[in-house]
Amino acid sequence: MTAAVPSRVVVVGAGLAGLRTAQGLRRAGFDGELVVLGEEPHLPYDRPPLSKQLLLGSWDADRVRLAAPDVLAGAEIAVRTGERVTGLDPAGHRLTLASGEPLDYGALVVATGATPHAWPFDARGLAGVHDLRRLEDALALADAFTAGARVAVVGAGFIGTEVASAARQRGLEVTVVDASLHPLEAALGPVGAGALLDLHRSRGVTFRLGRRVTGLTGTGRVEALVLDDGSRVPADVVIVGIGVRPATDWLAGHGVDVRHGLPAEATGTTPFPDVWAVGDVAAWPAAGGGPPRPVEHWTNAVEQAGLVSANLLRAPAERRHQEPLPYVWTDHYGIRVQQLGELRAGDETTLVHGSVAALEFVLGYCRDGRVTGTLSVGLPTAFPKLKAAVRAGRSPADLSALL
Amino acid sequence: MTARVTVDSEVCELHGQCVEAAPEVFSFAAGGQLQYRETVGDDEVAAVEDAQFLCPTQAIALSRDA
Ligand SMILES: Cc1cc2nc3c(=O)[nH]c(=O)nc-3n(C[C@H](O)[C@H](O)[C@H](O)COP(=O)(O)OP(=O)(O)OC[C@H]3O[C@@H](n4cnc5c(N)ncnc54)[C@H](O)[C@@H]3O)c2cc1C
Ligand code: SF4
Repeated sequence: MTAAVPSRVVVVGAGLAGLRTAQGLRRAGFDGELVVLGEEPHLPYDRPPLSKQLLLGSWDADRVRLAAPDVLAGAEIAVRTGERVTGLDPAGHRLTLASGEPLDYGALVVATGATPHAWPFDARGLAGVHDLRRLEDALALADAFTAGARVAVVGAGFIGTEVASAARQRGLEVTVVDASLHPLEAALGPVGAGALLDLHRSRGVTFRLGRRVTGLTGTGRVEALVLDDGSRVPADVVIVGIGVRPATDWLAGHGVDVRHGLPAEATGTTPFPDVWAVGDVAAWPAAGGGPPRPVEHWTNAVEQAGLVSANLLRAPAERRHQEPLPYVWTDHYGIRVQQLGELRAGDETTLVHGSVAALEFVLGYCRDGRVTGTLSVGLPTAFPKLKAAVRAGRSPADLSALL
Repeated sequence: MTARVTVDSEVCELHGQCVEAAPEVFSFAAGGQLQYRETVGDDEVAAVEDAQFLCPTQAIALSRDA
């Protein structure tokens, strides 16, 4: 049995997850009206290069585009840029746009992604302080990376450390400040986090750990960060990379708690009828249990988009789900760091291959003798084997034998 | 009917998503290079399309009029 296929599907959010869902619907044979609404003035573009190739200057801005206009037109995907959605009427199957215009949907895909957290200090309107989420942010930052500029990064997460890597590769002085004494450790474990921080130190990055930024100095332009011990970090360019929150403001007020993402089942459906959620905004059930929350990684967005585009056209009883296995990659000084699965409290980490000192290794996250995730550094082509082994619940010794 | 696959080696960054999505078509050689079959059958097109979606660098092209 097939489902009652909607005549119009509206996707809110013209990013990776929204675009891939729209393309997936066409691949799956959907021939109704397909509208993608995006707040940004651009056709869908890709974010990982914003903290990598665009900052290094190795890519032009137009290479980040995810689909050429003729490809979108050929697939009859109407992307409406510069359209912000401000409200949802779930019972009436109707959206409100910022222009005030209403738009009805048969099915709705929520793909509004995430927004950087508010800065934890008052920037007093000083120039030189940046977020890094949008294309404009990356272009402004690339412009600010002029010879001799002193760069301060607030937050030693993946994005902060990628920015540090790009800035060092461009010969700039870089200081990274983080409130934690052991940044990245919750995500990567002590060995992985230590290896990554040591790599950055060996390339000349200064870390100020266990310190909070309390304010900025400067007139008109930023001149320094002020830390909670009263010390200052001189800076011409400041990048704040302290994480994101799901872009769900427009979904509030309907009795569903959307503060930690729009909750979704493992099929992609949400508490709202005929409304689906994908990508950074979507709180799907977590891998290995635990409260649902967004997985803010690229591959997750594409995998959810693939599943939802197929499920949306299926009758409820025929909808599928897939066992999540989060995956993220991040690049530092040309060295690829990849994580499969997630490190959970109580997991043991075991070196299954290579040498940490040589920055070519695989760590296994182990639980009950099985590897439930891996961290690999400098070994990109091991990925397909590792994924198969983790999916199959292999032992650390099996993984060692495989590599 | 067959289709033609090409991977732009200047763009490919060895993410291996294609090897995972379409192992019959893409593989890593022992030396770490990506190798792939240029001509695929109709029954393999869907897997190559999955690989295209999952390739983080958009390195894979598929043309069906081969
Ligand atoms: C700098 C940077 C580097 C990254 N590097 C990596 C990496 O190396 N590896 C990795 O795995 N992941 C990486 N990521 C994460 C990855 O890019 C995201 O997981 C991915 O972009 C999620 O896609 P999305 O479509 O869910 O959200 P988004 O890409 O955020 O797209 C959502 C879109 O919706 C729009 N929108 C929001 N609200 C509304 C509204 N009310 N109305 C209309 N439109 C709206 C937004 O403007 C945006 O364009 C990186 C992210 C950033 C920012
Ligand atoms: S997925 Fe893309 S980048 Fe990765 S190996 Fe295949 S073609 Fe290359």
